[in-house]
Amino acid sequence: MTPNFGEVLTRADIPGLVDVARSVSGVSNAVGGSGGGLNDLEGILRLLERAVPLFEQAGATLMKMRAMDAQAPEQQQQVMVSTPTPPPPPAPSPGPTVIVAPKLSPIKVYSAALGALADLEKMDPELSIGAALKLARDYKDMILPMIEEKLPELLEDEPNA
Amino acid sequence: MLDIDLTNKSFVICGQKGTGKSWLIKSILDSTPNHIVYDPLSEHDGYRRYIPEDRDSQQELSDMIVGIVVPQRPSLFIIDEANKYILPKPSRLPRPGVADLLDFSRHYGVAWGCGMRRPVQVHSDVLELAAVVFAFQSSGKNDHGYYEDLHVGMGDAVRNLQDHQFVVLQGGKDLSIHAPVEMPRHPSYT
Repeated sequence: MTPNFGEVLTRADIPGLVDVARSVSGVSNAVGGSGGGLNDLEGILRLLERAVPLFEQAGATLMKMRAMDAQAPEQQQQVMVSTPTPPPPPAPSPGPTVIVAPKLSPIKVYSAALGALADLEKMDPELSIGAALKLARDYKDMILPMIEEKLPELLEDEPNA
Repeated sequence: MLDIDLTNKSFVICGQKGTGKSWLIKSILDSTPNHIVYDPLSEHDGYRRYIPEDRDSQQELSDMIVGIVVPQRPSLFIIDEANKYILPKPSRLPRPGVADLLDFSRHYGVAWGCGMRRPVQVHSDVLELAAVVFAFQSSGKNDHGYYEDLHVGMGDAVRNLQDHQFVVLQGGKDLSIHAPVEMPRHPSYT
């Protein structure tokens, strides 16, 4: 296109957009004409009205496809089982390491806790039961480490528990 | 004639009425016949210009850029009175249209610029991403602060300009003061 000095361009020189706007609104002279704005709006609403069910349908199809995708690995496994040459057995792996929770006698733990509390006698010989329990609750952060310290002894004694 | 290469660059021209902004725009338009100026106030008689039906419509500017500038790819495109369309943050840049020019004009082979009265009136991305900023005399406090943020000393330089002189900031670092441009081919006194 040869540029032309002094040429004046207007909205009419945007042909593509005018065509698109006309197809959307379904009316001629929809762009730039007086009162064209409402016609545009009506056209867009009509288009939306037609498009929404299509979007819903597309969404439903998409969901179905996703559900099929989710089932796909299971189906693939079935195919592998039915093949005449079974896949080589997996390399032997070392036996599973079973971690057995140590057994502790609750009574011994409780005794240890009481043993820790026995030191309180040295601090206050006239300590009441209520005050002792309150102290035990308040100082559980101290008592629990004491029990933890004695834990090896408790574990060693475990068979006799 | 300006001795500044604007090929494939973006630029802004800031100036109040009567400072010389329009003459500078015309001088830049004189640099190539392959230009289009978005001319909402019908100031650029004699140049290849687009006169919007609705001079306050962002949509029409976007349509024009998408429908004319991008397909025709003129060497030079100038939006005069850009502050009507490219509003300051937190408004978004008009998309499609201005935002695409900001992102892709270099690839389109289009130099593009915006004429505006004051820098604070437009989206800061346009100024901050511009390769060249032309600024005419302004004593506004906000303008001074804005120019100082762009480049230390620019606000003071703009404040102390003589009639029709202008400051040019290139690449965010090179600041210079220029004498008034010569009369363009198609001057129209606004």
